[in-house]
Amino acid sequence: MPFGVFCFYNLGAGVLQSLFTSYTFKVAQFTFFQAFLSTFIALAVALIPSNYISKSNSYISFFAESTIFIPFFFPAVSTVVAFSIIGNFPFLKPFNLLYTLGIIVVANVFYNSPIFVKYIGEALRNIPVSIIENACLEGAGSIRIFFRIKLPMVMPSLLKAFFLCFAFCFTNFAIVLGLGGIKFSTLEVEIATTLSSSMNLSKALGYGIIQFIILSFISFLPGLASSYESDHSERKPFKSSRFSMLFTALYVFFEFFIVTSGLIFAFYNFYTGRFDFSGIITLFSAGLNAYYPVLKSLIDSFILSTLTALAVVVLVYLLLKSYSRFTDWIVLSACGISNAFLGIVLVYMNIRYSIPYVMLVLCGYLIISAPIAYSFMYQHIRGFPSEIIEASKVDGASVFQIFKLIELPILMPVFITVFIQIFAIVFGEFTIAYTMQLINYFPTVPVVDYAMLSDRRIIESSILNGISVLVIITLFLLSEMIRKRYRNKI
Amino acid sequence: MKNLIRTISIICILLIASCSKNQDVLTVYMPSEYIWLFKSGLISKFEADNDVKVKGIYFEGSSKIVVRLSLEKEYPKADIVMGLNQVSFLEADKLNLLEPYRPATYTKIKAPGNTISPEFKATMFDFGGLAFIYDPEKIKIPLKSFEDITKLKKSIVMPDPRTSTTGQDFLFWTIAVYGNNWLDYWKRLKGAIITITPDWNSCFAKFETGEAAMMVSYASDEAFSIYTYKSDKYKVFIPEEGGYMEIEANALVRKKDINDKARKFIDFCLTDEVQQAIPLNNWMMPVTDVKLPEVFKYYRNPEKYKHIPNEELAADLQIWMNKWTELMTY
Repeated sequence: MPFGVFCFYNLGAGVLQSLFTSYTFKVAQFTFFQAFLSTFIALAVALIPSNYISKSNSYISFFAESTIFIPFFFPAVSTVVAFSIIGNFPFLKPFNLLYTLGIIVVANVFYNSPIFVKYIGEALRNIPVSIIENACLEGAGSIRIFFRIKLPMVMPSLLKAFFLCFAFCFTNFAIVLGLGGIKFSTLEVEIATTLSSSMNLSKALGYGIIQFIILSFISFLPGLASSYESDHSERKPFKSSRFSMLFTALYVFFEFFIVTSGLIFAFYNFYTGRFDFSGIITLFSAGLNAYYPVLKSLIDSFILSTLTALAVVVLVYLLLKSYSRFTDWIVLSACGISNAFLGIVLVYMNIRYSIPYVMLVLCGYLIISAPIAYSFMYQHIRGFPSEIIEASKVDGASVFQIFKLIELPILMPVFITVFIQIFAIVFGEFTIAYTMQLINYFPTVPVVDYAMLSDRRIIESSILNGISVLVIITLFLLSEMIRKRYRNKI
Repeated sequence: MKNLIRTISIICILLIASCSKNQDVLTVYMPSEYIWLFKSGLISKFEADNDVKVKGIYFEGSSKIVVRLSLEKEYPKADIVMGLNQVSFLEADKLNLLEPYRPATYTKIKAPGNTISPEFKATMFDFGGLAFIYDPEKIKIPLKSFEDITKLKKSIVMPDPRTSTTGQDFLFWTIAVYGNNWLDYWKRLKGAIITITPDWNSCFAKFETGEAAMMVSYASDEAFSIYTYKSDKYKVFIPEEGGYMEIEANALVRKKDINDKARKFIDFCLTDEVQQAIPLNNWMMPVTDVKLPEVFKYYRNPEKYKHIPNEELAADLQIWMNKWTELMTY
């Protein structure tokens, strides 16, 4: 609806003009190419670790599975900072890695391959053992089992991961702009550039339409494979090869090395060339907070993230309970909405109808995070054993009783994980908050961080960035602990 | 029951009283770096003198301010806009977003060159020369002209002209120097550029961390370096072809009822106390004849300034931007 109102009052024939230019074609072509290449390489890189985590319960497996916090929790800006630092290491500088297509792809693979690891790994793990055992008894070999049993059963998760990864790479803003520079502009970068530099809203909408069409088309992918019932019970680990373990260990090292590099930047003073922790005191001082509401931003971000995460979990649960193919399309196509454009539309709703910023931003975050929650909760809710529900209905249980006594205890780990995931996404979201100039109305951590950076307060800004990364990692570990505890209880 | 009615009545009266005591509020759209006006206590003084509350709404660059003003055209929320450069002024003027106002003390404006708007649709606030700043440890070749910069290999970072006023003015600087051949200059310059960033801040971060040896910035940066770090760790270079001046101006936002205190605010920006605070806070030059701080002896003033008239800029801006974008991308 907000998009409809905005388009009705603001747009003209310029939309069509901007769609059919050679420059637009070049931008769309590059956007698709880099997203496809990155997704394909991310899938290739993730195959061995995902197979390993499905078989092993070791620490390496735990850490490999934990990398899922990166695409959903770790701020993209921190990824850019980390790769910039690494690209400037004296022994790497002569290779001119920065500002190339190569570094964009590597950063995308770092950022998104954990989606494949988690989704494929979990799907492999949830294949009922009885099916594999029966196939073995019938004389099927490992190759036959893989192609005839495992692959079809994993396919829904693989396609969902493919779509998410592709959508993230396709709409990524910070990585392309920060590591590629303007010579590798994508549709999302063009939208943001147009919106922040000119009144050509039609042109921005033109780019937005192309982005939306391509991603809506791709969003049909997950629906192509039929889903299977999965087995969520705890199982004994299988034996995995040494190569598989070594590859996964290297993968884990790569992922965590990048994350840690980002944190180092928070406490390294480039003026003195030393590590410096004094900025923490300044960051929370009354003097600084009078102009840069750091404390308020932490509180605001906390409130906003909690409210959004709660709303998303409830909404997506209800959507999945009344599922249809149309639900798939309507929710997943929201991945195609440009965050920058959404930000401008929400501002316009405030200007025209005086809707408070906090409500608008909540609505915006609900739109962008619903597809993520949807893909994560899909298999758990749609694949929920129907015979249990049927049996309880026969026994006379009401809908609320079924939810409270059956679904909630079993699905609690999923709800908690999704809640924390969405919390972290909203906590670190920058594009919408920045486009809406939220610092003036409802300051959140990323915009206050950026405001300090703009005022040459590089140390304080880096520390606040470090704090938000630490908050995010802590949240993730907490969610993992809770999830494990619930799993053990069940 | 009577007590309850009495309590509710008292609360209502108090609420109405608190509402009626509402102070005048002036909403000012300004670039984020203008936060110094609040930090320095100047705004508090204006608020006390005029019994008004000033609400600063910050934006990253003046182009974003104009985008917001254009969205709000039918429902204006701001009273004043600060920090308009030549292009954002022209854009805002084209959309009829500004209300002319000649400040009472306009004769105090002594800045050289363009006055941005002879009809006083905007009033100059400060100005500053563009310059290259560089690390003398890393750039050893003698620098004299624009051509010398093209001899450097992957050394410079600069802001994007589409999103940054500094980047925009740098593009205009090269156009003012090279005329119709400016695109050829950019072709030669391409090899010297490491990357182009969305704004000046990201450029500065790359320069500060040593990723780049040179960046497009301002003529006051050497003074800033000496004042802040007590050393001239950056050197300023202005090519012999001439400098380019960036102007920042303030204006009233066009709306039905213009608050008279908004006019007073524009006047206030030209007072000696505000103008005197500009050099050490905004690192730009004041537009009135006030005493400059000692450290501004390190401000590099070029012998001559290049300039593009408003009419030419308004006519060719989009063509230049498109040509530049096509050259620099893919």
